[in-house]
This record gives sequence, C-alpha cells and structure tokens, in this order.
Amino acid sequence: MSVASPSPSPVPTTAERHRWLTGELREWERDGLLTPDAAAAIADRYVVTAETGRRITPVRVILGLGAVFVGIGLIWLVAANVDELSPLVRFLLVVVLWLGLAVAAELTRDLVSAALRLLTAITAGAVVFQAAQSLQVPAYRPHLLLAWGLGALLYAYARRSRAAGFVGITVLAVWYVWQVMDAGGGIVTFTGAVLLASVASVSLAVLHPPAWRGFGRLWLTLGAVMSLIGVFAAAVPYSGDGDEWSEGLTAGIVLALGLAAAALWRSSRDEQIELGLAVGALVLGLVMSLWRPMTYDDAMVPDELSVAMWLRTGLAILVFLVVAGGWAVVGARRGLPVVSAVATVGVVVFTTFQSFAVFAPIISGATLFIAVGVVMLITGVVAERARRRIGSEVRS
Amino acid sequence: MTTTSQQPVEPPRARGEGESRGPGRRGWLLLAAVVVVQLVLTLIAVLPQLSPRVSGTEVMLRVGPVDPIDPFRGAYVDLDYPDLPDPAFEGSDSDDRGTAYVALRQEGDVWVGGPIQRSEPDGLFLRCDDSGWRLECGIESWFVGQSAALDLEQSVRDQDAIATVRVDRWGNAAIVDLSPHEG
Repeated sequence: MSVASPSPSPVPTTAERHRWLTGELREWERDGLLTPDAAAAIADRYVVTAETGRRITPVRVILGLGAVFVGIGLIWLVAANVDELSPLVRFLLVVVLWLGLAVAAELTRDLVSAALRLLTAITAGAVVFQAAQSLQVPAYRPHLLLAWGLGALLYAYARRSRAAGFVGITVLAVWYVWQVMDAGGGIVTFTGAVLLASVASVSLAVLHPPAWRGFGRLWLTLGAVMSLIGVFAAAVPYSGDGDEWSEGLTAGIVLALGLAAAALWRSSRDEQIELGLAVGALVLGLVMSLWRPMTYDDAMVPDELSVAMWLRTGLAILVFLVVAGGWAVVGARRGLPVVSAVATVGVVVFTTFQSFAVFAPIISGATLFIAVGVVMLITGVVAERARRRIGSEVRS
Repeated sequence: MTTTSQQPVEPPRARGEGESRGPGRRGWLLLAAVVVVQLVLTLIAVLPQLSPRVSGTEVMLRVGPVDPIDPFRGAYVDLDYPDLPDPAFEGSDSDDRGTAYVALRQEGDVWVGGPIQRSEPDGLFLRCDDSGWRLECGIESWFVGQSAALDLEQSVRDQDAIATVRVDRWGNAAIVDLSPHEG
C-alpha cells in the first residue's frame, strides 16, 4: 500500500448499519486492531442518506395505504357520476378538495405531509377525469392519463415528493403502454416502444443528480419493469399483419440512445451495467421481434417445427431469463426489492405462459418448469462458488 | 458520519423551535405555479369539448345508444351516429386514414353528414378521425349516472335518440344533451 488512492465516493447505507459499523470500529480501536485515524477513515467511507435512512415503518405503510385508498375512492366517486349535483359543481368540488389537500400537505410535516402529497397527486387524476366527464370527453381516451401523469410528475419534482413521483411515473407508464397499443402497429412496434422506454427510463435514472437520487430510483424501477414487459412480448413466437418496422421506432431509437449516451457520460460502473442491461434487452428484443419464423396460422406441432423455430424459441427463453436475472441482481445491489420481486415474478409468469401458450404441444409445463429451475439452480451454484473463490482470494 | 450531497438524514425537529409552518413564500409560489400548470394540462386535455360548448353552433343528430362503463369515469352511453359516414364503407386506403372532415347539412329537424373528406369543407363540419374501426368525432360517449344510463338505454332501445351537439368553427364537437326521439 505505497500509493494513496483517491478517496472513493461514500457508500450509502442505512442508519442501523452505520450504527453497527461505528460501534464495531470503536471496539477494534479499543482492542488496538485499528488506529483512530484508520477507524475514522473507514467510517468516512459510509454515509447515511435520506433514501437509505427511509425505513418502511407501520405508520408509513398505514398512511400510504390510507392515501391510496382515499385517492382511489375519490376517482371512484367521480366515476359514480352523482347526478344530484351539476357537472360544474362536481368539478369545482373536486378542484377545491385537490387544492385543499395540496395546501394541507404544505402545512403538515414528515410522514403526514408525504401521505397528503401522495393523495394530492392521485386527486389530480380525479380533477382531470371530472373535467372530462363534465364535458363529455369520449370514453377510453389515453391522453387524459397523460395530463394526469405529467401534472403529478411536475408536482412531485416541485415538492420533492417521491410518493407523488411514484403516482406520476406509474400513470405515465400506463399511458405510454396504452398509447402504443392504441396505435395498433403490431407486436414489433409494441416491443420496440416498450424497450425504448426502458432505455430512456434507465438513462433518466442515471442523469438524476445525487440530490435527486430518490427519483432516479423510481425511473430505474420503471426501466426494469418496461424491460421485462418488452422482452416478454418479444418472446412471443407468432407474428401477424402489421408486424413491421416503423419510422416512429427509428426516431425512438435515436432519442433513447441519445439519452443513454448522455447518461453513459456521467455514469458509475453500476449504472453502466444497468444501461448495458437495458440496451442489451432492447437489441435482443428487437432482433427476436423481427425474427419470427412462425405466423398465427402455424400450429406448434413438433413434427412441423423447423430448426429456426426451435432456435428462436430456445433463444427467447434464454434472453428472458438473462434479462430477468440481470434486473434481479440490479435490484439486490441497489436495495430495490421491488425490482428483484418483479423480475422473480416475471420469470414465473413467463415460464407459465411459455408452458401453456408455446410449449404445451411439445413438452409438459411441468417439464419446462423443472428445466428452467435446474438451469437457474446450476447458475446460482456456479455464481455462489465464484463469489466464494473471489472472497477467499481477497482474504488471502 | 460524513457530510454528503445525497440528502443526509436530518435529525428530528421539535415543534416550536422558531420554525414557521409551511414551505415559505418561494415554496407557496412554486406550488401555485405547479397547480396552474396542472389545471392548464387538464384544460388542454378537454379543450376539444370545451371550445364548442363556449363558441359552437348547436345541431341535432340521430343516435343509437348502447351502455358500457369507463373505469375512471363510470357509466356512459356509447353512441353510434347512423347519419354520419361509416369508414368501413368509405373505401379509404389505410395509409390515407387519419383526420377526416365531415360536412354537415340540415335535413328536417336533424343534421346529417356528407362523405369523408381530407380537407376542411365550407360551412359547418365535424373534424373526426377514421384511423380506427369507426369514425371518432369526440361525441361518442354520453356520461350519466348508472341508473340513468340504464333508463336511457331502455327508453331508446326501440327508437332513435337525438343528440344535441355543439360544433365550433374548427370542427370540434361536444355533446350537450341526449333525449329519446319524439315521434
């Protein structure tokens, strides 16, 4: 250790872990294992941040659930179309309630304020839907979700509310998928659009400055979910009319890759892995979407399956497992259990879907589950052995 | 513990330590600006229906209703307009489909639409979209309470209904009333 390396950026950790570490360091210092300077240097490598300091407490859960229930109830109340009040009065009532909640959120603190901001963001949807209902905007118009999502996201950033940000990003994601499906461009367009949104989301997550990292984690979660949806859709082997490349996809690729390049410019190693995973899923997803040797008219009869069909089906499973596994690892490394959980559930749903929709005529669902499980177990065992070997090398 | 730019945890604050409630003048202004932008977004989302209500010409169109549910806005009567053109019979190429203009002319008590055109016609017209399976002119839904929707559906099941529609000079249309056809 002759050359002093530049001090790395502090590693975020929870208050509980930091307390444990500083307690241990004091013990080691007392036992003469560490000098005070070394103990201080080690302690300085870790920092408790607001994000990691936020713990899921029962009060937080109850307040959050309460806000969600009241918000959904308000939107439901709008949908009830209370005829006793005129459309204008209904709209004004919802607006007054929304403004009241926004003001109340500013006058309260901490958890209560956070819950009220969540409720304000949901109630913004009630305002949009009441306006649309009062003016008889035709049913099933996705642009109403766009108005709600953009407004909620703006409010979230202005008031630094992650809960409101969750509402805004979720609503925008639903709008995006709905809009893409509404466009009716076939499964290539759908897959490409969703995977491009994934790359854009992960890039946005990286582009958030450290002070806004909480919002970056929301975008990263969205990117992971979109990536899984896109690869899931790409794995469907059949194709039909309209499954062609579109100009919108080309424009989307330019935009998403531009964002990814900007993100790459200022990314850490972990973030580069996340970007690589999203871009890899995009490339593989597009390749699989364009390579569809089967049509909806083809039956999955084993004797009629060509080599290309077998290759394509096997590759689709492999790609999904790799992408889902990648996001599960990202979730674990980033302390985002939701991402890991979604990736895990995604594998189960994907395997079930493949069992019934694709493989049913070839092998039984049970066989496929066992095969996928065995592959994952072997992968896990190999990864664990590698981790132990690296650990023992570092110790030696 | 080091200081960092990653939002260090603040120690819990006790009430009454000289702090004022609320976000301060700048915070209130920011909130007001955000609220205004959200209201503007809502306004933009409903503008094609708001504009004809404010400045449109009123016309009566025959309709045939059915009764579904929108998950966010509740029961509504889905309206079909027998006197407006059906894209399925217009023979347009799928590449040409998109914005569609329908000129309106009065026949007796009600108004009827001419064939689909790709440029704005003279006089009163509807600005529609025929890229989907049917012509969409922004007047396909009539939101009412659940029971009213059922009553309305039953009362017009065997007869036409008349939609009162306001149309502005850009072809935006908003339905303002729906009633069973007298006679």
